[in-house]
Amino acid sequence: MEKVKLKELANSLYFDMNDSQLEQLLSEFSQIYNETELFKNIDTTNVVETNFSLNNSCSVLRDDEPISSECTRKHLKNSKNLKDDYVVIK
Amino acid sequence: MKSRILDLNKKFIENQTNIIKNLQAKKEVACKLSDYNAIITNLYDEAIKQAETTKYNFGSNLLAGIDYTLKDNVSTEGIATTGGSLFLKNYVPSFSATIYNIFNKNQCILTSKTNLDEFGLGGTGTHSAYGKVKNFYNENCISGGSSSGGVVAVSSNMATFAIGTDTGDSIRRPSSLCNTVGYKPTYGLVSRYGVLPYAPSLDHVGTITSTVADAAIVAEKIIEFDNKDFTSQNKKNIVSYNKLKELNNIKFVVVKNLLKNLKQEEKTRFENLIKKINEHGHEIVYVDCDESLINAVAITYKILSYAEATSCYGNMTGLLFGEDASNGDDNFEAKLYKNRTAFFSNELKRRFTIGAFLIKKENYNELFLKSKKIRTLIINDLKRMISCGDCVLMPSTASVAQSFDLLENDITWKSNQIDQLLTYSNFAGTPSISIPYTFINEMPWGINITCDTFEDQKMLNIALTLESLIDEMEGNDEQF
Repeated sequence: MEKVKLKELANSLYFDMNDSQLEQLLSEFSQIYNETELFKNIDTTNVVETNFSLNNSCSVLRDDEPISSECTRKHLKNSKNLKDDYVVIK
Repeated sequence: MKSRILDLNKKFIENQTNIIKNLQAKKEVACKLSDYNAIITNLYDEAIKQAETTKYNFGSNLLAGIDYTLKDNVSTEGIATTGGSLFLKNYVPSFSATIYNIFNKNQCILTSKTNLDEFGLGGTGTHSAYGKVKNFYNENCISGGSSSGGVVAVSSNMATFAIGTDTGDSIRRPSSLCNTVGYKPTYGLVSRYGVLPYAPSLDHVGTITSTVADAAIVAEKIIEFDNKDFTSQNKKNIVSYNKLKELNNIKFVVVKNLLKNLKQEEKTRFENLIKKINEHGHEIVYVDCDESLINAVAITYKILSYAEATSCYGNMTGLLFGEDASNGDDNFEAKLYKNRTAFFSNELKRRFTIGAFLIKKENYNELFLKSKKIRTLIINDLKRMISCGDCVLMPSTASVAQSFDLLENDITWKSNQIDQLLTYSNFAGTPSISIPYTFINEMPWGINITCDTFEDQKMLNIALTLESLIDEMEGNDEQF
């Protein structure tokens, strides 16, 4: 792993990291690579992956309910920049 | 049966105390220990005002008038919910989590929102924007995390009980380090609707209490099917306080090949417990776990949880909610970039960047998919061990809480195989509980019990049996 690649990764998530943060993370990556070596000795042939602890949920989809405009206004209260119930970007 | 909740309920009914006096006493403790950083939002005054004008039904409801705290990743309409992050410093949710609604329905009194590692991503209680949470038994030591504020609130008696969340061990580990009962129910039994996520395939909501009976009383109320949570399990009567009882002839499964990780003092204490268990007519069965799997727990957890967290927090833009450091000239992307750079902590950026790497297309098969398969093998190994008896019994943590100094300066310190065992229950969704056992160098140390999925009642009954046995062994007082 190179510092420039780490910076690219951080930027792909829309944040920046300074040099010392990147250095620290760089050293951690060697440990991550070492740990992933442990994977190689584990045979997962024909093993089915687990996505959730329990896959027998009773509520896969729920009915949407109409939401009143009053509720929308409540949600918008947390936005710092509003105009006529719209969030202003630029 | 020892219980703070039953004790308070009785006192309320018999007029030995009242709700206001109880709240004032708790507020006094909270004020005295404010520099322990357990609390982010203090609501004691509001709670007292509310109590002054409310009529409580003590007779029909054990939780009526009982004070509690919520980890600050639980949404509370009209009350700030920060997630322990600067990003949500001024965020006031427009809706409430299901669990908060359940407590309101049951006349419980919320007294504070408690501190946590930012969005639950941390195991030490040191990664919050609102200060490091100090251990009630030694302020120079960590409390453990991420439900750090809740365990300190209960261990210091700022609150009768607390609600926490547990993605890797975040209720049970701090409970072990702070002398509380930390219960993570079977996956999906407690609704996560309105709870800020960390890694949804591993996230659980659970209780932090002083006793096993209190855990059962609270669990009975909060285990409820919720169609707003797509992982919610529709099971009835999973836990009932009335069914809580001590058991005979329990078959405890001890993972023998992990005991080598204990230091001498911890090992001796654990052996003493085993001896006492045998004396009470229970049985100990020794098994070995697959060490190649337990050694892979840390990296498997990292891959799965960081990847999920990276995705979950994509909605943090600072535009619809959250802090905004941008100016009017910035376009959408520039705003995102500025806000996320300014308000995410280093620890969050670290985990998210690792998460982004792990889910890159070229790493998908070799790392991400493989880790999901290893998760299956870990679950199978845990179920194999549980099936050798009634429950797995192990120390909750390898040792007592370490000091802040050691955590920051000793780069050789790392969690060992025993610490990793708690995460098995998050992978498998099995119920798991840490109960107080003993004190080593004046610091608390807990033990952990794990049963199979939906065996929550059986696990609580086993925990009650052990709690009583430990009280006899350690000479603990039955009363508070």
